[in-house]
Amino acid sequence: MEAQMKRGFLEACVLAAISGEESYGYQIVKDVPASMGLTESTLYPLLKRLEKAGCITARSAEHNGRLRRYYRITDDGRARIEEFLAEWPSVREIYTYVEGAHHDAR
Amino acid sequence: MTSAKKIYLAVAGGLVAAGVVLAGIGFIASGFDPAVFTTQIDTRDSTIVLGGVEVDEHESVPFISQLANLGEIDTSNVADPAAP
Amino acid sequence: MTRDEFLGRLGELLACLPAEQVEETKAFYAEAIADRMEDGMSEEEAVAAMGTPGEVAEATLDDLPAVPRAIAKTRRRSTALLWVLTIVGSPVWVPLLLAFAAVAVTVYVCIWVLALCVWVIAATLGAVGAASLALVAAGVAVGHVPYVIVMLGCGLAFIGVALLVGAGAWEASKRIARLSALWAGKAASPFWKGKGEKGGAAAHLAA
Repeated sequence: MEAQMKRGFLEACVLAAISGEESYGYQIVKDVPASMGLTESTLYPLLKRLEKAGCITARSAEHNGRLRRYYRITDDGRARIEEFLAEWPSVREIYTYVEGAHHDAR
Repeated sequence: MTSAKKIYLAVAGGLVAAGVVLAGIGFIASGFDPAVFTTQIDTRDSTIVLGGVEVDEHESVPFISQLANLGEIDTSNVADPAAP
Repeated sequence: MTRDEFLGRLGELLACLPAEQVEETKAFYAEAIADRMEDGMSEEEAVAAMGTPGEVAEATLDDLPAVPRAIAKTRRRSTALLWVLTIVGSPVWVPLLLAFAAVAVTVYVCIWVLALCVWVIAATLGAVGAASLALVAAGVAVGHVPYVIVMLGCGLAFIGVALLVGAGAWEASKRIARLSALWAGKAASPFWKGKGEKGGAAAHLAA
């Protein structure tokens, strides 16, 4: 996916991945669709930003003798997802327009 | 707006309204004389004019008469301590 | 590359950051590698899935506000270079920094002077009102009735207006406090990631 579009969607994807139950880094990477091309190096700063914005909380828990960091969504995070979803009609409108104009021109 | 704020604004507004009404009454009572709004304290002549009427007995207006007398500085009784 | 090699190199590249942040970052990637190994990958594959230490460090540093990021990236290439640039460039950046601070402080002060002005107006109106009421006593002493009524009226009216303006001044002060907090955040944003968010234009200059 193109870089500019990616940035807007990544946040929503990560929030969606933990909107059910809490999750951890590698699980989030597996859950988010492959087309986003999410890697740890992208995920880490994003998680930091979301934590600072109060959209997620993090806790450390033991797993197989080592510490694992679990992330959980907050109400603010859910609100952010709602905002993202609210954009869908506009996005669809734009796609319809571009598609229509492109096909008419050909 | 909280009720405290409403009371505050009502009081302030009431004061303005009452004030304007009183000022109007006073203006009419003076015979529509615009001088009734003026106050003059002349420190050079030591004269006081309140609302167009000159005040002759300064004793009845103690504080303002002190302002009026600011123009005078009494230099008569200053003695030089070093003088023989 | 082994896990320890990867984490060691990452720690070197991020050495310009506070120790706590470096440890936190290394812990995150150590966890990611361990999770992948648990999933069946070999150490080599797990480490490779992270990307190169350079890429990872780059991504972490990119998230800093403009000025610390520029400093961190230069220090990464060479600490000596950073020192040379700092010293040689000081006739440039020192006056710039002072000018920037002066402008920021001036705008902040101006914003507050605005608030102060409204209060001064309220106070002045109140003083005029009080003086008028004082003159009521004088008028009574003299016996000039219309004057007494007029001064009483003016006194009350001015005090009423002073109270209204005072209320306005209070609201204005609250708004201005919010405005100046916003401004302080914006002014600090190239240096510090507070509420200044993306660090504005400076971020694009440094990128």
